[in-house]
Amino acid sequence: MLAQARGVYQSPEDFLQEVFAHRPPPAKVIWLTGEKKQKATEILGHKPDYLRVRYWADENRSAWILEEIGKTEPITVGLVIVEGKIKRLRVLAFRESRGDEVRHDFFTRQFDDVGLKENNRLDRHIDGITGATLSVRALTKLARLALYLDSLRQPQTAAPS
Amino acid sequence: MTRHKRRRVSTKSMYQWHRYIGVSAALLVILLAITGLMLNHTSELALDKSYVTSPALLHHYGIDPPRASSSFAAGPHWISQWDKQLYLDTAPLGKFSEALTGAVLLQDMLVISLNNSLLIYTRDGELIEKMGAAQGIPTGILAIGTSAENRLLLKSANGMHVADEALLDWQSVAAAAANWSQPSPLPATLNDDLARLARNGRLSVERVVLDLHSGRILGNAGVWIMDTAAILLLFLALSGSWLWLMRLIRNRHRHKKH
Repeated sequence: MLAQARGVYQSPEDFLQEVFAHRPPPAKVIWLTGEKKQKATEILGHKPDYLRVRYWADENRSAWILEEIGKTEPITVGLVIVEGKIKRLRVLAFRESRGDEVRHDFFTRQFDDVGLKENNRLDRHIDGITGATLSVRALTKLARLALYLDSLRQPQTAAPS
Repeated sequence: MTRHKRRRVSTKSMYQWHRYIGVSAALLVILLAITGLMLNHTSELALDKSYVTSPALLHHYGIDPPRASSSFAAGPHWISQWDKQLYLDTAPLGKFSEALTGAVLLQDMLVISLNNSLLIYTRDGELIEKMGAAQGIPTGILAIGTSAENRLLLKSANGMHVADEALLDWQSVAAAAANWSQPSPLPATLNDDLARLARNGRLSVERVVLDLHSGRILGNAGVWIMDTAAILLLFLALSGSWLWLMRLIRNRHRHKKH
């Protein structure tokens, strides 16, 4: 029997509770207008289908819950960023029929301590998974988008060009 | 009759059958070839993204004009849901499996409530944000409205909830006077336009070409017709090969005699 790839592995609420030790801060938003929208479009490879992105942040870290379509269905990903580096990337929900290998730790661990270099590219290569190319691409885009958006909320940190 | 004469008679008869069957199968073969070529290039021809608009063909497929499942007025705009498709006036907003429960205009934002989520749009129909449980939206939304202070209110199975000005935080509140969004029938002209739009997006050209190719467009009879065409094609291939072989043998005999 074919293994079922679809699943909700953690709810966004539980993810935030876990990241902020059961005391998530109030949500804030970044509006994707003007240059920000253009950069997000470059990162995603298509126009984002939303105008504002919600995030949760305390003095140490920021948490993002983002979605991107793998092949036909959105993959929900939770990311935690500390000082411009990804500290945790977790697939919260996977709705495609295949390619769910990206949810496993052996793959998501590759994003630990990854930051951005020039042109909003990741500063480390992420190895792909045969048969899950589109899911890998979706997660890589979300990692780049979260790092880019995080750089916008920290004016003291030089934003990558 | 000599053996040689018998062979000539049967070859002549086979030529006639080959010709008659070739002519009668020609139309079906042309249909099979054209539809086959089209199906081989579905993506390039965008057959799966093109939709049939002919009322007669739609009726043939049993797709009759649908009715709006629900519709709400929000200022000068109308929000309606047809099957899963959501419309802002006549602009499609996307397909949502959750049911539409209301819509309000709040400052310059259009807020649409579904069973378990809220959609915030600009007045031009650009999505600002989709909010669900992760953003603190209560599940089982029954109604959406505005308070006397023009704050957004939601009524759910768990009570009433009010949003802050930026629609980021939700608090439970005691029942209060509110202007709730009420379902109301669409204006006749808009209803007709949307019925046409909703009906037109249901039958892809790819489906029709596929059914033409298999014959299913005419039901079981069409399948039998296409089966017959396939058998005739098979006969043509065999009879053509047989005739070619006979001619080859005859030519060899002639060469030997000379």
